Amino acid sequence: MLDTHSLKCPTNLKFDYDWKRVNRIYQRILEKKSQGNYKPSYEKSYDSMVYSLKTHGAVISSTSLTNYEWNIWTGALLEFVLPKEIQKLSKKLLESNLNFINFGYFIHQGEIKKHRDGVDDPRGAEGHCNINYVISSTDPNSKTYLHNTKTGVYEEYPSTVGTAWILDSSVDHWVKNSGTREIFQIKVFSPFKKVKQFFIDNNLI
Amino acid sequence: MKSNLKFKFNAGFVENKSMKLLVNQQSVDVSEHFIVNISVELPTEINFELSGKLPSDTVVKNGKIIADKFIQLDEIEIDEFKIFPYQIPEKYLATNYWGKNGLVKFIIDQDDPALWLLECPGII
Repeated sequence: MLDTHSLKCPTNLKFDYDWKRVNRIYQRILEKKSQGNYKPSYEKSYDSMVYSLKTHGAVISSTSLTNYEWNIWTGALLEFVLPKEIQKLSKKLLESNLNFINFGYFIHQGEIKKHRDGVDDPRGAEGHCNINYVISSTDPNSKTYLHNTKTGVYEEYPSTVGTAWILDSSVDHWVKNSGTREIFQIKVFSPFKKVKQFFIDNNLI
Repeated sequence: MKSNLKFKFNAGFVENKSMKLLVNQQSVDVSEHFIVNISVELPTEINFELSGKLPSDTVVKNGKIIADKFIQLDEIEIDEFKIFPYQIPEKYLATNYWGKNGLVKFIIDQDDPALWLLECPGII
């Protein structure tokens, strides 16, 4: 029987936080990256270059899915500048036996082409979900699309500032957008149903 | 930006006496292992003032130092972010082994500790 479950779900996650601090550090990291300060390596599962911040994280840099370089900052230094409430969320996810991978922060311009996350990443054998919180967006008509080619389920949701959706990133997904989006991302390598249940159990839906 | 700094030390004693340490002009109780906590506004310069060491406090026998007064900085936490002295460029901390009387400075020249960490290639 085909599993025709939904591929996305809105949450009521709200982060009352001044993201300017995170943005400032992100911009400085990108400056230093462009100056050749961080060692790059190619990561096949994301078709991206990974710039190492040593044990304190990385910048995952992709050009294959966007018209402009797409830089995702992850790791301990990002967690260091995040509010404590967000750090507690990662602990809670792990305590609930969900495979929390990392937090990410990025700014991107224009569309993100159709892709699936971490196709060859063995950590994601059970499933892939992203929870994307839209910090800012200059395109009010920006939308995220999902398509499960096996079941035919096709969905979309608006990329509205101050909202966070869980999306099943193991299926094809892409973003139509003509402006600049600033996103805080929570990456969990667990099945969509399990992640959704966590949000229900914690009154986050 | 306000930051909480934690400095972890160890110290060498001679005849049960150690060097004296002032941190930003405040006296600190020196023991074999001790911790100093300071809350500061960034950017900042922390002054570590060392005194109380005499030439006779380095005890040498058969050409080997068998006892010495010193204070060594082992670890720093900046808002719970742990770093080690060897990761810090000399311009921010000249040395972590303090075996002479004098002044040692620890400098954070940014208003955000994360920005300062980015200027330490030994860390990031």
